[in-house]
Amino acid sequence: MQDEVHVDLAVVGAGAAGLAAATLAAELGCSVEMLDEQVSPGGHMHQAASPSSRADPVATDEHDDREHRLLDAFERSGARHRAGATVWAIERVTDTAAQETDPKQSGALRIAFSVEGRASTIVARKLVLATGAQERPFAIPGGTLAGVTNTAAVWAALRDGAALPAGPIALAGCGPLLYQIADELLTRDADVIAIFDTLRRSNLLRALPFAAGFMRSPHFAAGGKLLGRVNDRVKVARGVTALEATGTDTLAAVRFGGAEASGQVPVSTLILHQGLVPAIALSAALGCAQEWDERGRWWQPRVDAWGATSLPDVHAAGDLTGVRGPLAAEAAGRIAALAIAADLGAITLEGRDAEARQHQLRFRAALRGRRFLDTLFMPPPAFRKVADDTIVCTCEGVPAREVRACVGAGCTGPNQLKAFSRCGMGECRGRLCGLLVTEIIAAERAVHPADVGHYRLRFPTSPVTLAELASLPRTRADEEAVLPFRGAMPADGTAR
Amino acid sequence: MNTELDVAVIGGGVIGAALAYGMADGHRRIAIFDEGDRAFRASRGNFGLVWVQGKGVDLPGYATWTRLSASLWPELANMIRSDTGIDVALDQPGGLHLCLSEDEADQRKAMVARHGHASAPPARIGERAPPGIAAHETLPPCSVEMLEHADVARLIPGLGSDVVAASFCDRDGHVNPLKLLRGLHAGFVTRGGRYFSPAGVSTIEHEAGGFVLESEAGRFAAAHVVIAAGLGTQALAAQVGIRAPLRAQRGHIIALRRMQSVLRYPVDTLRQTDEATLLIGDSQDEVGIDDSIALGTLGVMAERAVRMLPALHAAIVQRTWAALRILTPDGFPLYESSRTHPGAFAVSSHSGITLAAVHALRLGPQLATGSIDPNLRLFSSERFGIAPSGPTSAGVAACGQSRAAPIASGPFARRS
Repeated sequence: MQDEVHVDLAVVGAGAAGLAAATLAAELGCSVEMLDEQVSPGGHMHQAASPSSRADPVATDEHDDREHRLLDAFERSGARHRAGATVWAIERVTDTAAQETDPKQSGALRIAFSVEGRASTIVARKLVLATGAQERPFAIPGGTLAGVTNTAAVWAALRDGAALPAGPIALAGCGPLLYQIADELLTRDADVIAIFDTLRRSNLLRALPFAAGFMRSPHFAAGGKLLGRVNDRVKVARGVTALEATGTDTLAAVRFGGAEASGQVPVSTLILHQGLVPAIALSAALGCAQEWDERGRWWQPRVDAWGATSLPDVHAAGDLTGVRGPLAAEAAGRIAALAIAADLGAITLEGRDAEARQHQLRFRAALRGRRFLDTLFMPPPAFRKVADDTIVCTCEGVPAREVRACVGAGCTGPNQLKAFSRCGMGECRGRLCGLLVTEIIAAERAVHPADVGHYRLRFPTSPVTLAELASLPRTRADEEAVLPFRGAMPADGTAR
Repeated sequence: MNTELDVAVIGGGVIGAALAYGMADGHRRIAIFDEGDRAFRASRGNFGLVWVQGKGVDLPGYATWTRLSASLWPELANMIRSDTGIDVALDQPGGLHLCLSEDEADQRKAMVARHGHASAPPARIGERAPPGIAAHETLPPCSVEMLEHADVARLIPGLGSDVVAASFCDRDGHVNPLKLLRGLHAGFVTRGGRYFSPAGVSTIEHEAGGFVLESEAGRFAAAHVVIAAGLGTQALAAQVGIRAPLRAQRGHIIALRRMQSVLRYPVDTLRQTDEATLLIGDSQDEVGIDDSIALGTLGVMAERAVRMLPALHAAIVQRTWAALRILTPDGFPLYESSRTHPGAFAVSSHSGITLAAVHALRLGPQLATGSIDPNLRLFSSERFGIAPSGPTSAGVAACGQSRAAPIASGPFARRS
């Protein structure tokens, strides 16, 4: 393993927030490394543009302009981009030579990541987590059948040039992305035959007080056009309250029920989506305090006005701190960069405050219309606190019934549940079922989700091999902690 | 005093739950007071060995107590299964410690030689009655021996060439510690116990005829109180006049993705669970109350595991975690009854899995009747410097400040 690179700032995630933070910090003279799983930077920003790329040239131009501007500025900034780098663990550096020679290094963090199966580490004095958003968990009976997927997976496949999903295709759930992907698939002449929309009419009433902000936002016009295009070409069942995927090993049909209609439709692919939620895994594994966001019904790392988390030297920005889209993410990334540059002495506090004002204004402007959308597209309770037979933890095959049984046996939160049932212990490391589990336990105990808590997520947040783990740099203290008979053997022979 | 409870057990980890399960008989009014979901829980983070070799090589009484527990383990597993239907996956095929250098092998050989008396029949262990053994009982024999590479390779197919030797003990085994915790909780409730969580206890007041606990779940009165609260034990025990010097020591575990059966015999740092997960467990870090992982330490553990079983190099790491052992200064258990507050007990040990059987089947029932068997006196906290004394009028305050001189003799003197 090569010598560890030391930088002022490491940024995890190359979406709008990560790009903006890395760029501005580098422009202010900090040494910056930006790590991202994808080969090319941009995060999910380009996804938002692609569906409308043919149908709405004006909106696309505006969007592409912004994206190009961000990418160009990043290229010129001097920040380094580690492409295809999956960050899987972060630790606070407690014992390095750097610390001895430079006490200012005492707050450093070591970031472990892999590129094409090879592990490396870098050490950074400051960290910005900009890991974005992920699909909100959406468990339905039969949801583990082959052929049932979600919008994120389909979008990634389309981006990578993979074949279209097998038709006939149905989509189910709610939210703008569901219609965007339907539109994208229709544009590519995929065999989309139905959309099962779970949007509740009552949500519209709840959202109505916030409609003014929405109608002044760019979402309004774009959304209207999108809905029009999709409605013209696909049958949409509204007010769907029950969904089930049926088939033996692979999906054969979707059964649906609702006030207006019910029935069964044979399909080969079912694409599920009920909104996005912050992708908190890395921040939660690192130990950033998380807060429950009641409006979005999700966990997000608690941050102050500068994006500082509960942990020293660790900032969070963008959708990770609450899903608000790329404009807000870009502004939040810049605000975090300014705070970090000031902490590192690259700018003065006055300079930070003066420069931040414009970004704070942009951030607030970007929130316009969000409250309406969040309220309107909140999935119905039945799809958040799922029925007993539905599998909650896909990886370990744990049904909701088992979760409720554990609560009955005294589990007050997700972590004891994990120990008792293996729920959340599997391949996805609890990323996919976390919110479902919090909601189910809260409902079962009749307490607020904030009082239930979330999984303590564990490293590695993405899979690595044992050989990659073995290749990490270690200190003498690490060796001595492990090597047997190092002279201080536990008195009783073994402490395991 | 109107006591609602006969016994209040503070702590719902594997020690508190085993003691409470052992006390619960359908008649006694027993409750477990447990902290919430995010408490430090050694019971959720441990490796799951039921381990004999290496234990108490220099303290025969501890070796005997450990062997007794290993021999009672099948009884505990059966009891949990018949009470709850939960199979805790106990397997005691014998276990190994692998040596990766001649140095390691030499040191292990020395340990095995000293093991001689620890594995001898308990009747020969000196003048004092062996801990926990009734007169009519005998322990099954136990052997610890060194094996050369070729012998180890017969037990572990795919063994790495770096393994020069191993020690093998025929009484060693392992269990699924999470199923054990769940089984103990379920068995306790089945036998009429009550479980409160989140119910961290802040104060224990001594009143005539019993104790009053102030907990997150409310105030409760109990005739007896058993403190088995892990890292919380020290502060709570001080409130009832028991000195319980404890510290946290961090250990790490790496869990690999499930794989086909590759390891029949548990190794003390490497075992395959009943659910096919391969676990690597090691490290003793004196870092205080810090259960974050150290990547370099995991790296050393990973490297050693690959040297033991080279095929593991490509295995996928599923999860890693660190947990805190709760250690007394000498590493041996602490079983103490309060002299100043009769009816109050403190129990602590980092070998909560291995000792679960004696905790449930021997110590628990003793505590329920209000005393600890004198032949378990070697685990009293007297050894940490409290001179035996009767109740003092100053009560808690005086005990909390006790500065009695450390004892200079007895079984623990040589390891100071």
